[in-house]
Amino acid sequence: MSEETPQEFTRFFQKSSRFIYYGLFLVILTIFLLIFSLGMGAMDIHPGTIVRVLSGKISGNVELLESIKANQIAVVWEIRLPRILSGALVGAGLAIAGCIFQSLLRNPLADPYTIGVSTGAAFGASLAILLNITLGLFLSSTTFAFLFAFLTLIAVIAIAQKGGGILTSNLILAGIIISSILSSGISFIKMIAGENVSAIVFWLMGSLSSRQWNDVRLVAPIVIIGGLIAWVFADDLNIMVLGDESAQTLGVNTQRTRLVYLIIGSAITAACVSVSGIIGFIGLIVPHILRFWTTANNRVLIPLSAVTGALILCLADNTVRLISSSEIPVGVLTTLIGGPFFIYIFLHKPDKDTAIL
Amino acid sequence: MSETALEIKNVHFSYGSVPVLFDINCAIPKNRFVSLVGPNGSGKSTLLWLLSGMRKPQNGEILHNGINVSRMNIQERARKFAVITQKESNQLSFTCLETVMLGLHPHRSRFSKLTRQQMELVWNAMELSGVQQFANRNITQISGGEFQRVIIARAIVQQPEILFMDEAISSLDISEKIRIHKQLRALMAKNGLTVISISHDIDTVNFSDDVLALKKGTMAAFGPPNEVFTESFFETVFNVKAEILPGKGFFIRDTI
Repeated sequence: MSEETPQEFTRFFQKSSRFIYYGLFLVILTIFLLIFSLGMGAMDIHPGTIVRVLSGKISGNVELLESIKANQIAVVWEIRLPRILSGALVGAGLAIAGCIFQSLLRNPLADPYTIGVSTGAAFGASLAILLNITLGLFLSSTTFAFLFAFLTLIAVIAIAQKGGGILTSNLILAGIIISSILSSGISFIKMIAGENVSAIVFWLMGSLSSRQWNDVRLVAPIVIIGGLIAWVFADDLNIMVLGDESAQTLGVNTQRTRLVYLIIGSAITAACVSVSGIIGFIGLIVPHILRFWTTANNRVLIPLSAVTGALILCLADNTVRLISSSEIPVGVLTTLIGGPFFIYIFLHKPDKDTAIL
Repeated sequence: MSETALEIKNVHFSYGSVPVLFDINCAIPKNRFVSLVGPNGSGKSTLLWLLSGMRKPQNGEILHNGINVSRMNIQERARKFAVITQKESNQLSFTCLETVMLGLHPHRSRFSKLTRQQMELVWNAMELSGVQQFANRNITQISGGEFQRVIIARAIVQQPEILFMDEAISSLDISEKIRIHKQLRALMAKNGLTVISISHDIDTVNFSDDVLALKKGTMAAFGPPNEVFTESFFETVFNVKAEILPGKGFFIRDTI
């Protein structure tokens, strides 16, 4: 009808292209932060040396590596890089899973831990630690965490399926029930562990210290592939937010979409939790606040959240590395700062959608 | 003779052991505005769900161009039928514009760029339902009536052959109701759209071409409002006394 493109549309398109610049800016910031973080710690390493170690290791250039001190290479490549990469991936993963669960459960206050997968992981890890201590085994708490996270997901889906399809309200309910059962299980394990309880407690608090390449190898493919799938099907996820009936009338196969996103979201959460323990608030705050500041469109929100999550967890981990020699678990810091920050944001939101509480 | 939009054949439906609809038979002609009326619990919403293919009848079938609607591919169906429900809500802060654009979903492939035509379609639909001025407002910040109009715009963007509305315009004020009715009429004249609408507003039902009345799960009447709305109809279906004013409509005489 009208000759010109309507002004509101131009504004919308300007808005979405601005988000691409935000994203690029955050990516560059994150890369700089990663390099800076590699130099930080008990042994100060020059950023130039770090770039040389990285380029030498990645390109396999032996001559370049020989010109650098062996202990510097070891510190950068074997100690700091796996930890920092794990941190970035866990941060990104938790934020992506947060986007997924907030949309899937149609609730802006949901997070990756809402349906109890994380409690399953925590239970698995606690069990592994307990068995290692009491029976002298060498079980991997990471593997156990991942395994139990998936068992929990299966249990939650099985319960939520009552009455045919999986209902959103049933999912939350089933998650809460399974979570509380497993929490009691964890308390029981802690009790049995007696004076060795500190190993379990420390794991539960969420930490990135002494992560190794093995951890990166577990978390990287799951977060990257899962994140990509989530991004590709983001249109369907947007429509799932409207509820099943409306989503079906718009041509979305809700049962299939929900199952796919449940599995992706849970796999990412399970991988993150099994590597780092329970790190709170990243998965809630990052997507929640970005949705409020930018857009609810998951095609944009998922990548933006991923980068922001990585950035924030790196910052938090650097902070705990810096402020004390006996490291505070990073999970404690994220919740300690994230919680009050969330309250601040919530109270200062200019809009009326306080109905979410 | 006009073509048929939907052919309803011997349709029975029950929720578990509770029967809801019995032996509904009817041919709904194309390009008509059909109102579904009846007392609460008479099965109107259920019939709407069956007609739009969202639920499957236990017996009988509903055909659209000779195809059983409950067997249509879900995306294919979304290109032909748009449904506005009473229950929809959205807690996440999508803008009104983003919400209306979701109506393009069945017509777009992933990652396809929005075309100029699609933009205009969205924009004109928002003009039609009167929500252009809050395009960039958050869907959680608008009133119930405004929300309904956003959903109406989204349904129009779906470019359906049949538009199903479950009390879609009930929360609008009377001037808005009449305006939307007129706009839908214009759209029907332009695209050959068929509208099937549930309404408790007997007043606005008078604007429709046909009335399908249900009582306790059976079809009580089907036809143009001036033929269906008789004193005995109001007495038997709604259990109220009404006075028919020939050429003007009717007047509910029961007083409280």
